[in-house]
Amino acid sequence: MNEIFSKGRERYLLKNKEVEKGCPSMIERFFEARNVVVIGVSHNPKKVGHVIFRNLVRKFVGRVCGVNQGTKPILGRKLYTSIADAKNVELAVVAVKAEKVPKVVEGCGKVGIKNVIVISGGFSELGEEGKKLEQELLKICKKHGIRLLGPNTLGIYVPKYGLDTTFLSDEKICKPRHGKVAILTQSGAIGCLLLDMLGKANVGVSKFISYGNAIDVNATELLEFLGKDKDTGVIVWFFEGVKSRRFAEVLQEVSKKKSIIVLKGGKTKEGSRAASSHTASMAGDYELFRAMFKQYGVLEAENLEELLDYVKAFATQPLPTGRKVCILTDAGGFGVLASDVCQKLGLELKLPSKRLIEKLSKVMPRHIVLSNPLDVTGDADAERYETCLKEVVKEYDAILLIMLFQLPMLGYEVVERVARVWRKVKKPIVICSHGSRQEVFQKFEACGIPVYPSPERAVKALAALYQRFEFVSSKGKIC
Amino acid sequence: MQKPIAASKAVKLLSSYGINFVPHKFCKNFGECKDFAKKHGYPLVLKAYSPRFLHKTEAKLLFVGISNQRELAKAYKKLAKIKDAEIMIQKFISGFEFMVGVKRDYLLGHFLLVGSGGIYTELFKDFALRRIPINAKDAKEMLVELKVRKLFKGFRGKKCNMQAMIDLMLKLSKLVLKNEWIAELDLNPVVVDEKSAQVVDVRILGDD
Repeated sequence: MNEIFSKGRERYLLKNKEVEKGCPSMIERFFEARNVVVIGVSHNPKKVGHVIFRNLVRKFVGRVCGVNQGTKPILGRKLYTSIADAKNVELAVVAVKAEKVPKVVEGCGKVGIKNVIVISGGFSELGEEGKKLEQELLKICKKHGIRLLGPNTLGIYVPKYGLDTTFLSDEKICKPRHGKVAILTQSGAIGCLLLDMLGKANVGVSKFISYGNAIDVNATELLEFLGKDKDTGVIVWFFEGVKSRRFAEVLQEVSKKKSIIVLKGGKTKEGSRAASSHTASMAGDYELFRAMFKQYGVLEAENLEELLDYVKAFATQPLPTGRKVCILTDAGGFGVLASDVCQKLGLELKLPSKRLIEKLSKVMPRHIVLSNPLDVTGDADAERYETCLKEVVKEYDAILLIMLFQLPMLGYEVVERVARVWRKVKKPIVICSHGSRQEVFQKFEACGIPVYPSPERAVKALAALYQRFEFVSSKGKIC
Repeated sequence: MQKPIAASKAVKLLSSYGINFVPHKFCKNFGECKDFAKKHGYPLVLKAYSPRFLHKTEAKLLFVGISNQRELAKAYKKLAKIKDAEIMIQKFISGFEFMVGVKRDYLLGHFLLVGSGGIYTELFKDFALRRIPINAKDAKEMLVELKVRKLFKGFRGKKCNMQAMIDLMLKLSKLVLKNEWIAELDLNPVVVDEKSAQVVDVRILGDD
């Protein structure tokens, strides 16, 4: 951790020089700050200001201090009564009442803090009064050269440094470990759910960013930042609308480098009502976004469940380099359902080669069906799965493993056997399995192999991986 | 404010980018109509573009399938009465109808739409959309996205020329990229047969 700390610090100092030279973006500094102050720390353990402070005190590798009106220590830490007393602070997290926020941010500006996260709600989301407050806040930011994230946000969570400004208590949510998925969200509530879902699914997170009302730092800048972020490989993004004219270009550029999975809220909002041309009346707002997603290789999820399904696959599996899928199953009916979805989504169920059939028929019992789906039948054990899988991966681009753990012969040792093959091949493998005993699913996911409860969801995840491969491999080519 | 540009200007703009408009002529008098008829033969179409009417069909500014000089004279007489109108005579052609259009979003930029059904596109809702600029791959994908995609391979003896559509869409994309003032544009219908894709009607709304 200390090593990470010092590296981050060096990077930060470097960035600081760039800023002085007139570098326009100071977004990185939110995530690399090593000296953080929480303003509005509360004694009440259920209050937002307390939870944020506690999260940082417990986990943050950098230095954290608090500001509060009283002087009584909280969590054993001495507090300042004024921001002016806190020295060398790089990032301020503000959790005071909305009407007090402008004054507090002004105070931050005066002591030279350039990065501020405003957690507090009660701004434009409430109406005109709040809008005015936001404008006042924005003026203060411009005056002091402050970059402000929020207001009305959960802020950020960087597992690598334990930098957690959310008011989500670790006792109530399963926060993800460090990994390569970045979560970007307009809504704090969706953000909270995504964190918990990814935590449970053992998907690691590089950065969590909730940008709320985005009066200053907006989604476009954050996307651009994540596009360049070395820790981030996959970007998950929930949004309703965007504010920047640079958005389309940024989306296109970032998507060339990293997989982006989006969920859009507010799909039914009508486009321009006054449209007089046929084109304009058909091309509503949502249609425009969808067009860009398709064109720029961005994967769109229909709902939260689908979003999580895709993230699980993208976070753990390599992209397949072709469309040939093998379904390896011990459950005939599930295999048939999976075949249907494969065909519908353009995946190819190539029949096994002669070589493969010969090889397997020598070692397998006579009643297994050497076709595609390859049915290892209901008496299959872990060894039979492993033997088949080892051969099958040689000639297919992706594998769907269907497993009924309700059957007596199949034990949990299959997890390690499958994982062993998977680690060697660098091809996507997903599991379809359903049942009330969840431990084995968690075991698979702990190894980095995603599990889906239905054939449709498993195949959809594979198809999404393939779709991304097609986009990446055709990028720039004109046919 | 956005307002429609004169039809003659719109057609000129299209042709300067090599977009194929059906053989036509803007006529200042009936004599010019007769000359056009002599040169191209019947059936013909006569229509008036007026800044006061956005939709010609509804305002009865359109005469389709004119088959002789008597009908032509009658149509011309009616349209000549409309103030400030530009009258266009054009060859009557048939084929499968598409529409190609452009819409500008103030944040997201210009988008290109292709739909099947010409004036019925809004009814069928069979359309595909991409952001401008598009490349040939995008154009092809858009056409393949349409429910009528089979027409490009041939369906019951009818076939639409896919390459002609792709060319038209790419030219339009280029045109819009150089003319950011365009807010809305409809090429509707675009008549497509085995050999070509021809624009039959155009309307452009732009910044004032």
